[in-house]
Amino acid sequence: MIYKGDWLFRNSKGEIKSIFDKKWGNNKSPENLGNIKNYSKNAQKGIRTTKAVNVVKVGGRVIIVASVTADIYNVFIAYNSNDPNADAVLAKAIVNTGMTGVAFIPGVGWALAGIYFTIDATLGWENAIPSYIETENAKTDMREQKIMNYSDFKFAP
Amino acid sequence: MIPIYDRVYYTLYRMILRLTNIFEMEEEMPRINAVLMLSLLTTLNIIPILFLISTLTEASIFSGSKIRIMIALFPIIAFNYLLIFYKSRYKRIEEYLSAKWNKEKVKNILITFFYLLCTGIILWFSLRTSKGNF
Repeated sequence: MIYKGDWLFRNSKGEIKSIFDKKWGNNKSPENLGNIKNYSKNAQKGIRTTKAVNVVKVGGRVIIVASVTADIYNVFIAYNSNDPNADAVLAKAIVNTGMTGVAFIPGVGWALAGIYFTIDATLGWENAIPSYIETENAKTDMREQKIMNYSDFKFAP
Repeated sequence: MIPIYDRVYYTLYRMILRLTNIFEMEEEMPRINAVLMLSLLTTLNIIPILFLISTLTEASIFSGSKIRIMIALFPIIAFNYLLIFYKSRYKRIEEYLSAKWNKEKVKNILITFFYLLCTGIILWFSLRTSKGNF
């Protein structure tokens, strides 16, 4: 069945499929969705939602491509300006691209990439790593001096 | 004669369909993904040219934060989208090349492979030569 405003696509076997059928139609019968009028309304709502999700997906992918190319561009700038850290910039670009690849793994990949890029965009890894080391050293000092902190109370029997 | 650009687009499109078939997935946006891959490749072609122009003209090229560079490179992606999707040009490309796919499959794959190889070589070569020589 083809609905008003449906988004048709061809799969690898050459079959024409409808977004509505794929996302909504397969697991919902007209009885589930109410009468024909409501069914049509729900169908259109489903199509609109799916289209909106696809627009967001496309936007995300455009940003990924732009981000990867910007990293490569930064590598060129670093080498061009004889930056002594040019190799580090290259390594960072490779790691960024790798983490972008990791972001395509559902669940764990999203979490890892999300944490990585959030720290990268906010604190910056050059600040995050020393501050983490500083905090851990401070904790060790406190333990050595028998100064209790929140985590000591938290894990006390 | 069909441009190399169209052949590369169509081969990438077929590759995406083939991969989704192998992994038993359904890709709703194979054309958009193919255009994105093409955009990435064309941007990688344009970056060395930009640096070459900046060297020859001694003009400063755009630099600064990552977001500014991303915005500056965005028109390349938009241009690729326009080239493929404007007035449904993709339909004509697919119609023309799908009819000849069986005959020209190897040719199209080889063209795409050499394009990828050349992009990589040019990028690597310009990166190495840019080190202090620009």
